[in-house]
Amino acid sequence: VKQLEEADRLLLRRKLSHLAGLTYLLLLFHASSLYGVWKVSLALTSFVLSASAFYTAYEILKVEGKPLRRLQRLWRLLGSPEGETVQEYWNACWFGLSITLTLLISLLLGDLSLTYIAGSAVILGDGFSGLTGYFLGKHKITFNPSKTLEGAVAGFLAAFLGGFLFTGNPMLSLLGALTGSAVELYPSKLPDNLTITLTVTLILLLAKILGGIFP
Amino acid sequence: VRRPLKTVLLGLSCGLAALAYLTGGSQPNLAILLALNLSAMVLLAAASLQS
Repeated sequence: VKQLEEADRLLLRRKLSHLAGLTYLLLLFHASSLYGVWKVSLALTSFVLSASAFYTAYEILKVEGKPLRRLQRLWRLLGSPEGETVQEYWNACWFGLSITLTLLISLLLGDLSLTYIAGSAVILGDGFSGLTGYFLGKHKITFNPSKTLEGAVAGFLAAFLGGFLFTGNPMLSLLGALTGSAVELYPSKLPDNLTITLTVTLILLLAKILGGIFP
Repeated sequence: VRRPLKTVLLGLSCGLAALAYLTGGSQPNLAILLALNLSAMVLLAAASLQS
């Protein structure tokens, strides 16, 4: 029983640190009106790339048999103890790199709404569906028993609301939230943060190319 | 990481960088960032497969 409680606490911490990804979008949203989109994007991109490089260096040190204990304690604090849930602690890097890819594509297109909607789908959608599923989840989804109907609905609503508040574009936010929820429900071994962000970006890109939805 | 995999990953990084450069067009700064980002993703995939 004690072990289960420990696992639950870690899950909650992980989901809460997941929601901290929202600072990326908020920074982009507020700081870009102060300092300009290009400067803020450059700062965010540099930060994510250096953080990923740092993390990869840490992993190499660990393989070499020189783990950094303080960082291991930090991962545990953030909800991902090493050795137990091996896949989890890569997720921060996957999130950073895939949202940066979306941001760079948005900059190429000259339209940041792609980043806001894809970001909302992965941060708010995934975070809220996890939390709601954990607290209120009753009805398991038949083709993916680790997800619940309540979680899926909450995730969809949060993703839609987030995207809409950032961009003010209801159609595009709806499309992004729907795609994000669908990818989230699909049982896959690939990291959620990567698959959701990239799929939503791709679908929104297609919507933009095919036209009609973007103003 | 095994040698064939290393070669494939190196090739993939170069390919992605070239693609980013081509799509960058008139914005070379963005293309360089895109190439860096894609290479980092490939490296991360390699590192996560290895561990």
